[in-house]
Amino acid sequence: MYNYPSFPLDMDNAYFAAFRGSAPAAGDPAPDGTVTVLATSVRRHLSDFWRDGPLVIEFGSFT
Amino acid sequence: MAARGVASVFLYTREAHPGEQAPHHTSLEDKLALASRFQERWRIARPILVDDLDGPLHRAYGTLPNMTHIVSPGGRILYRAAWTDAASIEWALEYLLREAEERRSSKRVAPFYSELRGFRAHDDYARTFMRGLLAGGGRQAAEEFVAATATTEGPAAGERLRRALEDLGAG
Repeated sequence: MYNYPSFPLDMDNAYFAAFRGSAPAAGDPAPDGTVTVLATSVRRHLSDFWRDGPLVIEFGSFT
Repeated sequence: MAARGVASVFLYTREAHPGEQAPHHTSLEDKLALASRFQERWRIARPILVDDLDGPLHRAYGTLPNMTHIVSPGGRILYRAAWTDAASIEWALEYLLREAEERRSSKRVAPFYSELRGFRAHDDYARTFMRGLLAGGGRQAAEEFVAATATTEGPAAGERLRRALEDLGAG
């Protein structure tokens, strides 16, 4: 389940191991997909933002 | 960095610690509303891009709550970290911009793979983190994180967070 309603008891460890072992690494193609731009509500491709120069992508949420 | 052609975005994911203040998203509208509150609360200047409800991009990059990546104009990952740390991101950008300069001066450049073990300051981390979690997530989110930490890292670690909560008047 992606949007858990409460923080799972067994959180963290498996995800960190998977990040290290199986998520795309340096040198790999960066995954592309559609996002909603908050300021305009327009949908764009993530790749639109890295086309003109290196892009720093910080992931996060309110909590 | 913006002056040197580097762009920066915040990619909004699921709530890492859902609670009464910021519940888990049940629709894209929920997610956009929380992203707006986040933007106002922290006065985020850079573009906030909201991932679809089921987190396809968050999952594709590795599902960690606070990771950071740097991507080249050609769409290759140049840097990735399990945690967002300004010092290592700046350091990486200086290095990567030097590579771009080498390429522009027509020098031949060959990439190689490397890794780095990063670090972040840990003193008072429990108190700082729990204060933030109480304010942003709420009491339920804070209590759940204490319980989860006790489960995954052991009772001593859970106890440290519980004491931090008590010190904040919420334990």
